[in-house]
Amino acid sequence: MHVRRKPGSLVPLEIDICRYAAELHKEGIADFHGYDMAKQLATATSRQSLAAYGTLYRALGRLEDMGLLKSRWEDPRLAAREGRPLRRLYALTAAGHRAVREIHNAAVAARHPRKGWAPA
Amino acid sequence: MGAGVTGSFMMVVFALTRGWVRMYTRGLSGDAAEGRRAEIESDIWDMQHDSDLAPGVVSGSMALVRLISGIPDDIAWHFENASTEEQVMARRGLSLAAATVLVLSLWSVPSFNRRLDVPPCAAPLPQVAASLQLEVIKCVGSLFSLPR
Repeated sequence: MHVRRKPGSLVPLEIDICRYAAELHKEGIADFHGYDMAKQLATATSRQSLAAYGTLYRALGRLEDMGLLKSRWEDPRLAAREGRPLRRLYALTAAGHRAVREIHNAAVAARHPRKGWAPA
Repeated sequence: MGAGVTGSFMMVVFALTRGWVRMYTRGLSGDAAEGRRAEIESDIWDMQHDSDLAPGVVSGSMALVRLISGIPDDIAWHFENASTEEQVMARRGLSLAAATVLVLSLWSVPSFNRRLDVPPCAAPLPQVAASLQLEVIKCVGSLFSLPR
């Protein structure tokens, strides 16, 4: 089933990814990899299950296409030293940080609507 | 259930995952396919070596759910990265492959479950006397007989 969405809009998973990427950045962790994010999402949402492979990596790819994330492959020497496969590392871009602020502001505005003057 | 069996369950699921990734990235040109395969391989390694996850049925089931529930997005990703010609051929092949992976995944789970106790069969129906059967036939037949 193909779900149409407005161009540029984010689905809840993508919003969560951006939000938790921003939180990791605040903790001094600029880069994260897919499994990192899957665990972060599971912990933050108190779910017992990790995000599906297809869903998670397609969302990460979409966010990168939208310019909210950037990715790079890690130094192969590091992976070789630790005896594991190469990781693709993601980081929130400046546009991604702006998007997270806008999402946060929109959420706050929705919780606390401004009281306007009533007409006489 | 021993750790060896439950650990094997997880390894089976990872093998299925690798097989599925190879299937839906087949025929794609460019770095997208290679990148996807490498990324999933790295994810599998991370999950396998995650000290927060004890090897067992729960972790294996978690890996299985990660595989199955992501299949629609995997198929969508394939078509987003495929050329028009590839899409025509891939549409049928991927549907068949997805169904195969689903069946194999579901088949792998009962292998590690306990055998279910089968309830005893219900008592056999009582034998109906031949004379009673004849009476029933006569009654039904009288409904179709012509009036005199």
